[in-house]
Amino acid sequence: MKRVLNKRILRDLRHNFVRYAALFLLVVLGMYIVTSMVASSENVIQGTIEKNGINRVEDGEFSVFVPLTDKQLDEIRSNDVEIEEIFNFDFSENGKVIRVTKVRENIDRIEIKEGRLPEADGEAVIEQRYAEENGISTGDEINISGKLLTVCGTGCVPDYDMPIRKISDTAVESSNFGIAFVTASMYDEFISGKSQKAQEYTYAYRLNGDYTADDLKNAIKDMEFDYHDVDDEYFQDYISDSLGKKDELLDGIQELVDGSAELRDGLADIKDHSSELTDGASDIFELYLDQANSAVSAFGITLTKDNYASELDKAIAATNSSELSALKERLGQLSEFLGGTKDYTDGVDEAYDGSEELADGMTELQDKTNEISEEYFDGQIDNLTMFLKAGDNPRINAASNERVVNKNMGLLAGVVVMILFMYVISVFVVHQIQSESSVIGALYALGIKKKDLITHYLRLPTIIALLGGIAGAAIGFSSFAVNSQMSQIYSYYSVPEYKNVYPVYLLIYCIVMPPVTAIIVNYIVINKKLSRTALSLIRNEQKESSISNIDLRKFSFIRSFQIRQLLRELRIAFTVVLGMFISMLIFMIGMNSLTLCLNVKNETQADTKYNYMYYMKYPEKELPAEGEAVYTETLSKEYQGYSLDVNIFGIGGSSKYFRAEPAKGKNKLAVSKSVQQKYSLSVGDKFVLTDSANDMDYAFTVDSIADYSAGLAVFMDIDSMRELFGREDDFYNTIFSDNKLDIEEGRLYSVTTKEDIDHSSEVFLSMMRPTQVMLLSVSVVIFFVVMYLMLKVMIDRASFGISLVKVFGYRMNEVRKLYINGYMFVVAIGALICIPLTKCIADKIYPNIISNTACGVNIRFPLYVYPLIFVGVMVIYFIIITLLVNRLKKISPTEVLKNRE
Amino acid sequence: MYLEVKGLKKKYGNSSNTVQVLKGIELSVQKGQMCVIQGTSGSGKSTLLNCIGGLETIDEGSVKVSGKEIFGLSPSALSDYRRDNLGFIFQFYNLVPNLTVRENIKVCEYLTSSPLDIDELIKTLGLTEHQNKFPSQLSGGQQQRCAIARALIKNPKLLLCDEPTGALDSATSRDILILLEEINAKYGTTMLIVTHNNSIKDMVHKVVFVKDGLVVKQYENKTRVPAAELEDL
Repeated sequence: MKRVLNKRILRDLRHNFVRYAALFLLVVLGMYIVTSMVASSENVIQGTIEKNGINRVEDGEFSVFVPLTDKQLDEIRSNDVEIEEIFNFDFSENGKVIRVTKVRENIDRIEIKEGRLPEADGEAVIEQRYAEENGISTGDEINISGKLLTVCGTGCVPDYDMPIRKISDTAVESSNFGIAFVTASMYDEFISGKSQKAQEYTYAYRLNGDYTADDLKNAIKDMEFDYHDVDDEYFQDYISDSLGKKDELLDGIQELVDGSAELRDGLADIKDHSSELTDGASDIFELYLDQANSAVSAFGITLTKDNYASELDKAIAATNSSELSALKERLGQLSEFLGGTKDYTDGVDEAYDGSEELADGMTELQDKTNEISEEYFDGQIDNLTMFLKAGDNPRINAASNERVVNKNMGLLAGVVVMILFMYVISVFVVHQIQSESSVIGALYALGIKKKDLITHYLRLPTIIALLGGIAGAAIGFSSFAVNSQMSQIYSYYSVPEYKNVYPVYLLIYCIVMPPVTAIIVNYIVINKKLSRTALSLIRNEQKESSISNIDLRKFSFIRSFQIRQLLRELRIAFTVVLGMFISMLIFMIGMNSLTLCLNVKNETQADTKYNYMYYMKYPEKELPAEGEAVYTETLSKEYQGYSLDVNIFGIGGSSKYFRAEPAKGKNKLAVSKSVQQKYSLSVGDKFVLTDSANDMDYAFTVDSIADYSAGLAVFMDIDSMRELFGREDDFYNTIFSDNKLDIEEGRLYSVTTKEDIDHSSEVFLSMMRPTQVMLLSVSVVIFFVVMYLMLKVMIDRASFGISLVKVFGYRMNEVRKLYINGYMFVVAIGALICIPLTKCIADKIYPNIISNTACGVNIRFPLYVYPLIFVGVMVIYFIIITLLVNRLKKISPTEVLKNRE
Repeated sequence: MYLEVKGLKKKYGNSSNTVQVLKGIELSVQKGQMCVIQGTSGSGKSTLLNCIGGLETIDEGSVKVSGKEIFGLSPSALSDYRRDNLGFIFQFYNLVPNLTVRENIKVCEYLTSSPLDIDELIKTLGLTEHQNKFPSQLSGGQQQRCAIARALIKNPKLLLCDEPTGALDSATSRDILILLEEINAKYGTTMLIVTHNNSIKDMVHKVVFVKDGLVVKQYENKTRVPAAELEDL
């Protein structure tokens, strides 16, 4: 018997070929999405891990003003830390920048894509993305800094996985930035005769023991460093300028110290001569007293210093002598003089003591000031200019990090498609059991067991699901699918060619899950359907659900017929809507991606109102006439585990280049729309930014929203910002201008033109295009397939009724009205619900997908897109209906004579 | 003649395996007549009815209804022909299961601009109590009444009945036949009834015997036995 039943499988397949083909296609598409997204992601994720091991990716890197000494390097190495110089300099020509560096030996080693490593001076390996963008191949010659080098190979390094020039760059621009790897001697030749400032002293490190990155950072900070060793004139200018105030203070204090010492010494001198003055005055008084005694001897009195006044008064009273009165007056004057000299010398003594105290105090003040100055100055200027752990370095593992999100999305998409698949096959099974009810009943009556029938009905959908899973996985794993997904990685990141991996879990997911789902769903549905008695099956008794009992008398015949039809085929209507929901969700995610890329491009281009942005390493005291000075700081803010850079622009009251009006206040921010969207901020919210280099958090209050969407930016009043970050009143480090400014290159970190910004804003769009195309097209195909399948099943199920009304003389348009047009309302209402609903859900999901991207989340469509999507849905519906009308036509009136419901 | 069939031939199958079901049927029925077509299983009686109903294509011959030839009509013209002229009653009722009795009747009411009064018809057929029930909630007789009401609502000129009592017990069969008789009397509907029930032939105006695709005998009853008095139903 089983053999007989098995023969039916092929017949059933032939008879329902379109249905099974569409089901097969659905599984293939679902598994194709999963496999291509997950497999390509796994290629990158596992490939990155493997290549990072082979090429010995750094644990971090740091840059210093002056190269570390051998002793300092040995000190670091003694802590089980591997360290390698990755010194480099940038060569710019015609807007293109080539970073020249030595071939790395132990850390961040080159993965050669084509050719070989340089073996002699005059040879270079060019970073592969730059080579591709600029049509450079092995054997070509390239001019770098006046030297003609032969390209001996192309390749990539793990520390430039995302080959951006500056850490703060958000998008790769390989056409304008690349790296050239040369031999150590060639590199030395390049830099010989050049000043220290010509190169970046960067070291890569790998931690092999217990020593942590923070330990290393602190150790480098603590290392001896004399900023005078830095032979960069602009640095020294900057330093002397920055240190001017400190020197002025110290000089002033020194002058005070010197002055007080001088005062003390002078007073000491005066003090030394005080006794001479008092002795002289005393001598004069005594001499005059002697002369007076000679003159008054006739009166029998002897005058002394203490009694001359009383004795002379007595004598004057007795004699009334005017001479004695004159004598007394002169002696009184001399006595006063004597007393004055005494007061003076006492004052000198006191002044001396005070000046001595003053001198001691000034010395103490100088010592303390020096101490504070040293401490403060040491904190600001150590040798370290940059310290970056690999985990915080956007250049490292960028492709892999991006793919983790894709992988999760792929796995989720598979589950969603499987749910849809589950519903679709359940509809098929129910239809098949119902249409074969009398046969099944008869077989039951003849003694066939339920188990045999379940096995029989399970077989074909299970085989289809299995084959669909295998085909989907095969296509998904194929070089076509993987390459199309990988192409966006290879065309953006500078990564080695990853070999294809075939994760066991993915194979199980794609090949085992569909048939297992088919078995489970079919088993449950078939088991339930076959639980009826043989007689009930023979009679094909249908239970009328309670929902069918609704009173439709108030409706016209056509409308009530359509409603009855819909109620009867509620499962199909639900599956159509579910299919629409799922495909619409995939579609909306694709649309969000497209919209975001377009918005990033358009808004960035519109909000970039300057033509030149000069990011200053050492700003000049005088701002160039045409420039607008801005103070820029880059802090970070975590978003779902990713640390994203947020630029703070300190701008003046009426900025020409930014539509932002930040209020005065050290804690007040005007946040850009992009930041507002990314972090869901409102006015009044607290927004904490982190300065990870200095382990500091800054808490701000959102004061206003600025109409600016290029990158993640916030705005502060420039004076408040200077105050907050302890800068001078006229400090700035960025200049925006309409025209090119004459600024010495040595003072600059970088120059960014509007053209650069415009170009980089388009990068996302081109990078994401393959994924967008896949999501949009697959969603349309899924929607098409599901709706086609369901409406076809509905027509098959209604073939008796259709045949019957044809017998009665219904015309095709009337048949269509009765049986199909009702679904137009289902589709239309479903679309009206699904479009906003899926958009809302996609909007909730999408920020998680791009959580590692430093840009706003403006995924708002223009309003006209919604009616367009609706029209698109209806167009697909009408295309399907047009296809199915043929099926309607094929249903003959005689069918009613063969079958009965 | 209201219905005139001449030399009607119909075969099934392909070139290698052909079954000639109708081999040249000759038949005529006057307007308002009830005609029974009798024959054994496989004789071609149902095929004859389907050909007259425009449900089967005709290979050869002529079928005229009210003087209009239906042989050679396009499917849509055949559809219009059925819509304007015919009513069908089937052995297994063929009601639309998810429509109520009333809605099933409305399926055919929709097709005409001058239908009979649906309430009156429902009442006539004794379906007033059941008009909002679904077919699965009805007995066989009630379902057949519903099917008759559905066929009659558009007041067809020709009613084609394929074994209308074939699935019913004798009492119910009698009720249905009485009903058909009343309708014929009331509306003057021409009826073609395919049956293998030998008793029905006595109640109709004309009897046609079909055997192996040919009309082997036909006659008109001089006296008709009312359906209520038929025996051995």
